[in-house]
Amino acid sequence: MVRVAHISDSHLGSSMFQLVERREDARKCLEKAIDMAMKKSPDILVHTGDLFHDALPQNDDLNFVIKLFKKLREKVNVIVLQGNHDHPYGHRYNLSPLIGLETMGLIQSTGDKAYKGLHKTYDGKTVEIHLLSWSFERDLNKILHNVKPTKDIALLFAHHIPYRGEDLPVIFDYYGCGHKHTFKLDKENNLGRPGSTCYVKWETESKGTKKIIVVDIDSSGCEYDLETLNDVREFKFVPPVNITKMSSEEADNAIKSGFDQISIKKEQAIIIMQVNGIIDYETERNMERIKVLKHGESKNNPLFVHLAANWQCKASDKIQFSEPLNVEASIEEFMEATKDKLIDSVKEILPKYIGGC
Amino acid sequence: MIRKLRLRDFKVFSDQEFEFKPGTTAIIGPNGAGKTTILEAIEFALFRSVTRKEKAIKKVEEVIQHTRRKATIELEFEAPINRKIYRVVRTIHPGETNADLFLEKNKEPVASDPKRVDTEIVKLLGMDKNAFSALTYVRQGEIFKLSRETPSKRQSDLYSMMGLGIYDQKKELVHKDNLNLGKTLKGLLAQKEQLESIRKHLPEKQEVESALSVLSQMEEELGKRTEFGQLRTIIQRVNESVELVETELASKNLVKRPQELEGEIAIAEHLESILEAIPSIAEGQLRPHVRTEARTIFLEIFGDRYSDLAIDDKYEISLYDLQGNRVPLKAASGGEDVCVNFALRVAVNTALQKHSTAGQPPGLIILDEPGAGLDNERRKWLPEAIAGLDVVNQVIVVTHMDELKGATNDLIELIPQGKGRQPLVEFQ
Repeated sequence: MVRVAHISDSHLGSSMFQLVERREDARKCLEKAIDMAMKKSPDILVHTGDLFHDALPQNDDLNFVIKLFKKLREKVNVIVLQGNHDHPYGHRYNLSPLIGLETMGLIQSTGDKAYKGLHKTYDGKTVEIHLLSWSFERDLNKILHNVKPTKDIALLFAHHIPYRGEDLPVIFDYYGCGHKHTFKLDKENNLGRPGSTCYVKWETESKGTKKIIVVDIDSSGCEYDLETLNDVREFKFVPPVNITKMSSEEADNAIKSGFDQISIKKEQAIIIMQVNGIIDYETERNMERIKVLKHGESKNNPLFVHLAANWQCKASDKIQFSEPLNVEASIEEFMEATKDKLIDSVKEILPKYIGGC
Repeated sequence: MIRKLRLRDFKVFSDQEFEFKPGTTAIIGPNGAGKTTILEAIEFALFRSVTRKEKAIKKVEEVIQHTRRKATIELEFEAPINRKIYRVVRTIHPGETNADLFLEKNKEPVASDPKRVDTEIVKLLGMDKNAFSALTYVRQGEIFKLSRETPSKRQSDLYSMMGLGIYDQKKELVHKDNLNLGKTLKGLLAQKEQLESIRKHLPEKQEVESALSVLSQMEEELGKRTEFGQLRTIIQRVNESVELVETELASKNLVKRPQELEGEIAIAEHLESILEAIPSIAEGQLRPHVRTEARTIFLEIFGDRYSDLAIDDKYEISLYDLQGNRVPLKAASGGEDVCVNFALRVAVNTALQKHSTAGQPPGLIILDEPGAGLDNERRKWLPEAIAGLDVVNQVIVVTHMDELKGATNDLIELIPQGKGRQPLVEFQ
């Protein structure tokens, strides 16, 4: 049996809303995830990519990682893949900061290539491990179709596996991936994705969860042990407010009272509210966004309050065209909407002008 | 949507096949390497015309490689309407073109004559050339102008980017026709007037008749004389003229036709006024969608600095920072300003794809030199923005920017070989 603790996407150096605090948070979140994982005494700690947010990490992040991984030496096999954020555009693996970490012997990765295969022995059993950093889909397909595992246990870790579990061939005992920041586990087909260690992009992550996947893998199957991972900072997603047809004053008040209704456990939280609906241009122009945000900031001492404008503006026009670029259809729709009496006569002469490019 | 393109003796390409996959594809090469030729070939394959600098070129045989007799284009595409794969083959000879449209690998064409193939393709796409190009194509230089213009110029530019210029074209057509109708009517009325004035100088029919009867009486009383015969002939001639003028004046051409023409003119004028009214309503309908799309694209890149991108009913563009302050575009950095433009311009296409067709949209966007005229600092975000365009399933970027090499799923690199030789084509 081999025990794998699987984490992913720590995005060190990312700072949501350009908040410097978030850079520190990202580090703390990674440390927390690793601490939680190490409590399970895994044989392998795998991070499936996007350790850094940028291919040129700042020294504080780099030094932090070096110290962190140094402590893990002797205790566990650390594998880190190169995610799309870990190297510059163009799949230039040799320009990734992970190369240095690998040279130092702190981690195992795919070097200056997309793929690497390893053999390890745990518990008397040989485990073959296939690693694929961020790469072209065809490279993943090559592995899925050409690799014929010969050892007792075979694992595949790839930064991104854009397939459903049921569409994967049954050749690896566990498929681990990252790239997307929310947790997903298909126990039937043994495809796991832990999600990111911290919030990186709230828009896509607010509805999901983040976990550590600890998996005991044997040739007979996998056993899972999951730990929920919470960001070190509290994120409060306020229920969306709908301001359809409101005046600017009503809209401002609706948003303010949305903020009033939340309860927050920690200080310095990040509060995010999405505002939906259809309003007119007048309302939008006169809304007092600054005041509304100040109101949100006045309670619970948050670090940051974000108002996500998701409303639409519409001028009140009675006529709607189903295909605005289809001249013939639009003329008919226009005449029907205006109850035009000449509709038949106009239709009669239309063919003369419509048709042909 | 575009699967495969094969060119033979088409401009600089003697024989070359290109494969296009879903996702983003960059066509990279220095100026003159044949990048635009690929786009022209796609356009020709679908619509039998080549547009250059926004004008259709008249002599398509220009595209035949020098010293060759004909050029051939083969294009495989997935029809939005039924998701089936079609293959259109067009050959260009001086003065004429041939076309065949096949369903996938079938040997028997679905349609064979150029005009029929054209009609069939419009059906398969669910739209004509104008709509297709508005939905899929972002021209060179269009990206970086929107923010710098006055609101009214911005409005008219958005009109034409949305493809609504078609209404002006049609209006122009109707107007021209209407002028001709007006001319005809005027001619008829002038003719009528002339006849009427002639009639004034002629005697009435009764007067002529009574003159004739007086002549007969005189003949009876005075006996036959040759002079009477002469008089009779003259009076009869006058009578003929009177009758001729009367029948002319009573003819359909002068009585009914002017009325008909007036009716036709009134209807055509009415149609003109409708064609005048539609685009601004359509634009008002599409603009909110353009804004929503533009906001998404812009915040995807600069969401850590800004909270909103707005374009209002007066065509003012504004940004809102995270504190809720309105930031005039002038105060945004160069890179942000360009990204706003990029977002707005591409949003026109994505909004049209989502909200302007009753059927399936083509799902394709072609960006022609999106980074032209920008320094490195200003287009830093461009690769990310292009890679992030997942609203459509196929993006083709034509560019000489090397930065895009790794930012797209696929890469077609054209390396010129000089002397009018076919460029070396590398796929990745």
